[in-house]
Amino acid sequence: MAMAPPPGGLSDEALLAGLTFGDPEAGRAFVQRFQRRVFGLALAVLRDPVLAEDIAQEAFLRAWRHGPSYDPRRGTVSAWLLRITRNLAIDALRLRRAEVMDPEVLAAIAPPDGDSVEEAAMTAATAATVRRALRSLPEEQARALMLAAFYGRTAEEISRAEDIPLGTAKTRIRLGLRRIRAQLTTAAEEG
Amino acid sequence: MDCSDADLMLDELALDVLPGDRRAALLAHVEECPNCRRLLDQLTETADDLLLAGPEAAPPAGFEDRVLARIAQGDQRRRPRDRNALRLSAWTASAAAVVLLVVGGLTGAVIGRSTGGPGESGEQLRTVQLISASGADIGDVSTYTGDPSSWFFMRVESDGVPDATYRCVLDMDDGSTVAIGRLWAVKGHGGWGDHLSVDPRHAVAARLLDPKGSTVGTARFR
Repeated sequence: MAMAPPPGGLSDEALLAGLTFGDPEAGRAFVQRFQRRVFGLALAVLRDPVLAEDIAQEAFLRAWRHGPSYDPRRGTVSAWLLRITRNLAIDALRLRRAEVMDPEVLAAIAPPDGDSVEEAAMTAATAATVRRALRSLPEEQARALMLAAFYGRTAEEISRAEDIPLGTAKTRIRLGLRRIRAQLTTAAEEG
Repeated sequence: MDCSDADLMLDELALDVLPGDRRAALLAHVEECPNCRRLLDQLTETADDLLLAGPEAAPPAGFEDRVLARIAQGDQRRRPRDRNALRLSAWTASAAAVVLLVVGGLTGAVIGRSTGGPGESGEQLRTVQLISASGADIGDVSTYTGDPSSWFFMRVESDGVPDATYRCVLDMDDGSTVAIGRLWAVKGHGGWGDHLSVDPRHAVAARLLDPKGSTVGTARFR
């Protein structure tokens, strides 16, 4: 279903279509709408503002190039773009063999200020629920989940880094994600 | 692989950290199992929500301009698109016909504009109006039947068409419906074209479907 446009603007899908079609106004609006999230994620993973900007630019370039492959049935435009950003940042991290930021620090980073005009209320509420849920997880589950979600670490890599059995690493990832899921579901049902 | 095995790996797949060797087997199971597929969708949505909850930060001044400059550079250097796929913004039916000829490599071919139907031999180009459920003219559809290539173009030109990603389908005379591709409408304009794997002479109609699968417009060839 086409999302209702947020106040004062076109939907995310419409802006992505405009970016892809070469509409300069839509392209600029698209970048403006998502630049804080994209750059923020890249900076959080890489901790290097120069490299983060390079990755963020590349993420928008890929959005322009691969826009036609975006399938709304598989998720929102935001999620699609952030996955692109995350994967680019992870590749850059691996290339540089940079140290991973302590995921507890990542989880404690000040959340978005929510003043973005374009941020839909639903997204802000979901983000707030996710952050609360992360803080409610046992520390080891939150850590494993953040290492996987933001740094792309496999269970094997987490197992080695944390010096825990592989099965334990897998369980922490699984339980962590499912607990987040359960809290989001509860929050959605409570409206 | 059974569901209990799959359940142990779905979270890693949703987070995109499952190694390749296990990924293929899990995807094969998910394709056959609606329950696991539904759970994977839910977990993937949660994984996306994790990213959405990540920190924001203002990029350095001038970031927008640098991004747009890179896109503009990329646009100028962009190689000709795959001959099997084109994406166009608003264009006229006659321009579409010209593009059909160029992209289809049909120089020298004998083309006749016709209302054509199945059974007619030879190459043919036809254009019919795309009509909404309320009877409004919202665009048109052009098909070209050629040898070896056949092509399809749909154009939307109507303020009444909401911004969305639509699907283009062909209803064939054997009762089947063939999905052709997707059309993005922005501010009432959109266009999409592609090479056809079916013979357009056997198409009864072309339809534009909204994201819910409802027919937004129909172009009847017969």
